[in-house]
Amino acid sequence: MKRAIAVVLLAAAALASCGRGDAGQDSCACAAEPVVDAALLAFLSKARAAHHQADLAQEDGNLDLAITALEPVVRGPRPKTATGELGPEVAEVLADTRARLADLRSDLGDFALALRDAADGLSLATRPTHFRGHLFEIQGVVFERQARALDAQGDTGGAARAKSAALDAFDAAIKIQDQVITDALSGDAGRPGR
Amino acid sequence: MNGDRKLRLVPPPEDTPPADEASAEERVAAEALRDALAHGEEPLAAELRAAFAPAPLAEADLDAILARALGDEAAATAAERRAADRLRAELDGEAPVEEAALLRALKVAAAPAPITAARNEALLEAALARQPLRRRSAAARRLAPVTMAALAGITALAAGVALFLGAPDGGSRGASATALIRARSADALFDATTPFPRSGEESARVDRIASARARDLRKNRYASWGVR
Repeated sequence: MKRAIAVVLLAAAALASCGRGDAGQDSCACAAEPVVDAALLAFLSKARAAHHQADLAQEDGNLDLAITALEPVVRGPRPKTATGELGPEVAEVLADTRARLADLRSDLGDFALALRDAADGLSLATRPTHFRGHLFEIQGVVFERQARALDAQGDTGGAARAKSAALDAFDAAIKIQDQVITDALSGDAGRPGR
Repeated sequence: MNGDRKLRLVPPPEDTPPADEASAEERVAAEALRDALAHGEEPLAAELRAAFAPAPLAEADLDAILARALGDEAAATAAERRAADRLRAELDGEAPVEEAALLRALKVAAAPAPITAARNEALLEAALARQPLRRRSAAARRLAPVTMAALAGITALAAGVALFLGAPDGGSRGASATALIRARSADALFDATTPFPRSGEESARVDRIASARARDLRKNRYASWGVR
């Protein structure tokens, strides 16, 4: 009798483990693909708070404080996928924050850091989206401000180079925005990441 | 006739004892109360008397109360010392337990005394005296674990078969796992035909992204809980 019970229990355990094995394969198959989770939302919430802090600082005319509010977003921890990459939204929010930092820093005359912010943002927003287009636009604004500053300092050569770079950046921005708009109007829903 | 009822006096029943005649029990109780009052042992009467005509405090008690007020926690009045002595005697078994019942129970629970040999023998005898009854029900008791094991086996087998065959619940769980909303570009949240303004609206954009993904996260949680 005891042997019979043992056999029944072993058989049941084996069947149960088979069933679970199928489910585990399902979950493993999609484990590498990022889903919207609490870590992503925490990052977005942090970025949201930082941008609103920066808004208040800008309203008071304190651009340094606005930069201080935004820096933790780009320097702090960020959620990554199982393969170690940034999620699409994370990359886009970081890129947009870099664009804002570039705008603020160039407004304060810190063109070197502003251009680095723009470059960092462009390395994050690699697909043709409004985020990437906006970054090129801000890059153009930074060069434009730099050109004016150099011109005011009498550095006409430097001003001319900065102006040329600004034109190139604006041109890139226009091309990307054109592509985004064209894709949208042609109903291109098959782009990756959409 | 105005309909008002009028009261009138009626004589009591014949077997009702006179109101001024006390029973034997009442007389005994009254006697005991009189004695207690005379000796000051009736608590309520003593308190009323003390409130109405308080006795003077002893010099030592007054000093103790004053010292306590000034921070000397060790100072005690004569009444407190008497109560403490009584409590100690109860705890040491020198007096019948009255006030110290709770403390004694705590003491026994914290450090139970060893059982005496005689008490142990009595408990064994009582237990062995019930043994024939146990023998009678031995067969029935032996059957219980076997029955339980068989039921557990059948239940486990059913669960295993359900998992193996992909019961509706298991299928929906798998579906919900694959139906979790993925992280994706936020570009779709914005009007594709309208580029971002050159400056400003960054907060509005991150607001929109965070709100949309908060909704996605809520849906994912419900999906992972199996809620449609």
